[in-house]
Amino acid sequence: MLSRCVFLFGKKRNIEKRILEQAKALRDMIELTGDKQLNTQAVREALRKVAEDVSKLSDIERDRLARRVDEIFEEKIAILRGWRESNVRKIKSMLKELRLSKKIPQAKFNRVKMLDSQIKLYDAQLMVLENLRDILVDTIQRGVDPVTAWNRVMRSSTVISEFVETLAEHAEAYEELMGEGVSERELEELEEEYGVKEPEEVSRKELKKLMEKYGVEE
Amino acid sequence: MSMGAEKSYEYMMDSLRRIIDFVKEVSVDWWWFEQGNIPVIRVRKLSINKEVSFDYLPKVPIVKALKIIYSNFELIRKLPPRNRVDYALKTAQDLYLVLQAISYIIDAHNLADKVQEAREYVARMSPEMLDKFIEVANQTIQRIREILASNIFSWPSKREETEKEIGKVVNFARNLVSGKESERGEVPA
Repeated sequence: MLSRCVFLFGKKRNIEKRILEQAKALRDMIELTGDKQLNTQAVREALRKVAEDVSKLSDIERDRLARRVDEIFEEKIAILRGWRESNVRKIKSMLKELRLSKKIPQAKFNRVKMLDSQIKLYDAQLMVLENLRDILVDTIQRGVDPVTAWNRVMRSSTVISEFVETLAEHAEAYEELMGEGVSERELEELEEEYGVKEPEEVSRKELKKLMEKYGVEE
Repeated sequence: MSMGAEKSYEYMMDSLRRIIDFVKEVSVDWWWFEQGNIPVIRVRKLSINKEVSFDYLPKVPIVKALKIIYSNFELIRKLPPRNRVDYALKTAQDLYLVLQAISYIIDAHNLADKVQEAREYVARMSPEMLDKFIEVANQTIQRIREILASNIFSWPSKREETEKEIGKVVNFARNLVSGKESERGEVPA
């Protein structure tokens, strides 16, 4: 009898461990940096496995597990929020500089736009992470059916894909502007240094829009 | 390294990491100074390849300078004990200068922020005068930037002059708003 209890306990511990590992893997899928892509099929598969596994656990075990999954996601969400806040401060600082410039240099304006896209990307990542956390917690606590859960994941991943595209566009524009060779950049620097070339100007309207968005007073 | 020395070393490295984090954090607000990315200071970099080299680099931004100093202290551990003290002392001298430079930038930042406040005042009270104000304010900001970028250690001797200049900009803002445009002649060139 005792050995059977120990066996069942060990089995349940394994299930919990497996679900936590799956939750971590799901959380880390929302990276979108470098070669990492949001793999929707893997998300769906992982959710299905979690839904199957939790059915073998008691209510108390489910509750405890849900709290731990919440913590796992919260760790990453807190880090991302920190990075987002830091970028918001940076963009505010850059906008302060630009609004005191007589002419707004195109290169600096592009950097601001890049930062804006990065913030949007963080927003999207945070949204997906929060959704995914809710889906997982729901699945573990109450056993939301995987189809409903999947629909929510699909909605989130569509949004994030759009943001990734925007970011890629800005990155391309930025790289084009910076030129390919160092010598070209050096030449531009020299031109500016000796007053041969005026920095390109962008419209103040665009700057104003960003200032309003990030609460930098006009 | 003895236990005591090891602890002191870890404590020092931990403090350095905290300083780097602090400077990274505050420099984001230096809107007038490219968020701290302007090269202002020369530090020596320790390299251990076949031979040990310890040479001055061209001017680097503040955070970069702190990271070089951190890496120097990390490398110093790998040197034979008789060589350590000399490099450690020289790196500590560099660290002192970098910290001094940071204090000058923070001081200059407080002055530059007054220009930003004056700008907000003009924008709120007489938005039509904003372009005139920006023209004047921009010159002052550029001058502060140039002082620090060309020789950051000249800041104490230029500070008073800069403060007066900023006072004139703030007065200019007040005059613009109150319509005393005739006083604009007093504005720094």
